[in-house]
Amino acid sequence: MARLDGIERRTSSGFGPMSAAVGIGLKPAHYHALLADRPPLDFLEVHTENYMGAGGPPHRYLTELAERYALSFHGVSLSLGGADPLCRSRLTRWRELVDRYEPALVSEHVAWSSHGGYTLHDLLPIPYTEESLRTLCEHIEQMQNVLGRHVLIENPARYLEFNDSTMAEAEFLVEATARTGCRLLLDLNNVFVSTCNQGEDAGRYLAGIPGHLVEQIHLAGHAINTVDDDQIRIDDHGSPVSDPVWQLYSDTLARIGPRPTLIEWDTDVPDIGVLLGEAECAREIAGAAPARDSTRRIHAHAS
Amino acid sequence: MLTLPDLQRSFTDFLLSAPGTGPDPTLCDAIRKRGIPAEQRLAIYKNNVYTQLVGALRDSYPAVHRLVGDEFFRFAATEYVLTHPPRSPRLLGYGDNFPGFLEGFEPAGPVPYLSDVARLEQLYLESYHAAEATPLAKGAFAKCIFEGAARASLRLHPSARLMTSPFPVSRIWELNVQSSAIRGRTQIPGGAEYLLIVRPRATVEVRRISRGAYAALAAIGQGLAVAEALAAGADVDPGIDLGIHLLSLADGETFCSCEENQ
Repeated sequence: MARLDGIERRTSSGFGPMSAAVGIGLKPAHYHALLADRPPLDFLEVHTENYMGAGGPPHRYLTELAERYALSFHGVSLSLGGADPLCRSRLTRWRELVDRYEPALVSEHVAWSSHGGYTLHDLLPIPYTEESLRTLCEHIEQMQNVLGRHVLIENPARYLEFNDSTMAEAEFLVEATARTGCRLLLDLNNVFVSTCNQGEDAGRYLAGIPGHLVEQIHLAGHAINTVDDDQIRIDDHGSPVSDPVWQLYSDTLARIGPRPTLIEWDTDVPDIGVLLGEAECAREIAGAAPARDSTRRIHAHAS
Repeated sequence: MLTLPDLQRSFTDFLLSAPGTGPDPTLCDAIRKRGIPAEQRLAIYKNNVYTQLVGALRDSYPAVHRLVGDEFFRFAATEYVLTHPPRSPRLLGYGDNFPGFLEGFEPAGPVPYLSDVARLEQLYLESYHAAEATPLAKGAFAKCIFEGAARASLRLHPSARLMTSPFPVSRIWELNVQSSAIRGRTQIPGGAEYLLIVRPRATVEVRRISRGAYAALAAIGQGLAVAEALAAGADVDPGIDLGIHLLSLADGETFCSCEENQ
């Protein structure tokens, strides 16, 4: 479908969509360390919602950091999967921030978080139906049109599935890219958490995702809770990336080549050194992976 | 089969219901039965929502949290979530009504200054996220206020906030946001406080000011000309030289412009 008309495909700000760039989620606790030590990272990712204030220290630091690192703007509350219309003032503010900081990457979730005037501040699951797909695609197109560029959509961590779903998640995501021209932010921790929580196989899930649709990867840690005799994995971003998720990362890169990769850590945020160590692990794995699309690969560099 | 709007309405009702309240059976029936029961899968989302909202309040109100302790804070914050379900996608402003809520929250009655400490923390956050503006230079201010420009109007910096309390609220707040632990009883000088909260550059400052300066700044904030503002200050605090007092505030970059009125 000719949905890409007028939507610019951006490869600015230092790295391309198929590069081995590595970044970490930006936390206020790390502002000073990043500015003082300039660690070798290719990009920083922010939750766009945290920069919606008019001014103050968040913007001062982000402005300084943007001079040294490429940025990724990651939304957590647009509610693309919500049945309600998207909030227009919210989208306008997004546009202002994208114009101001010119992030290399822009993403949101395949989830809903608002309904009936309430905002739940969580990434809630949608059934994978034609009705959901139509709603999601309408909202992705609206977001892309307002921002004037294509966006990435992220697979959510899920703790339940709906009986009404007629598609597997991978199939649903791929169909959304075909209808809107958006691309995928593949969160491998979420793939692992969601498939484990349904007794499914992560490798089988990933086989359904064509590599050329993936333009970013997220890695994070998760917790394991036990309910009676059953385990459930909780995507809490509060620990190092687990071994099975590193394995998925390694396997995925062996199949599709390196991709811009982010280490997320949002709960009990540790010293920046811990995140840099995780980023270094990702860089080693990415360095060992073959570049599958060398014509489009631009070598990433920090600052 | 539930339509998407019906499913999300039912899900929302469940997430915002009181802790311990179960989901509607139609919502449970929509969820695939495998291993862990639907009720418990749904409860994970509800727990996430409450954890996120209570956590946002704790982040916004660290001094209140320290004053009452974690258990009481969770109790109060949970009551707040129940009575003030979030309506804005901006989590930063979720606790804006928390000071008012605490004021009427009966279990917090034994700590009469609690809602004022919360109000100070809320104004601190507002100031932190307020728009940027270049502070007015001291020389330009002195010219505006002393050189016959009595009809001039001053504009407060966008981050400036004023508050007053019958309690020594800023001293209580300071003690409770400092990292060192308080041991035993601490003596705090009593009495009412008049406060200016302002962030001229990167750091929010909480300044104790005189009653007269407070009245003058409040008048300036309402758009009154300098002469009228000074008169308002002198009315409540006739003993001080307000011109000099305001000059020291200008030194602290409280104002951002001074305009001659025609």
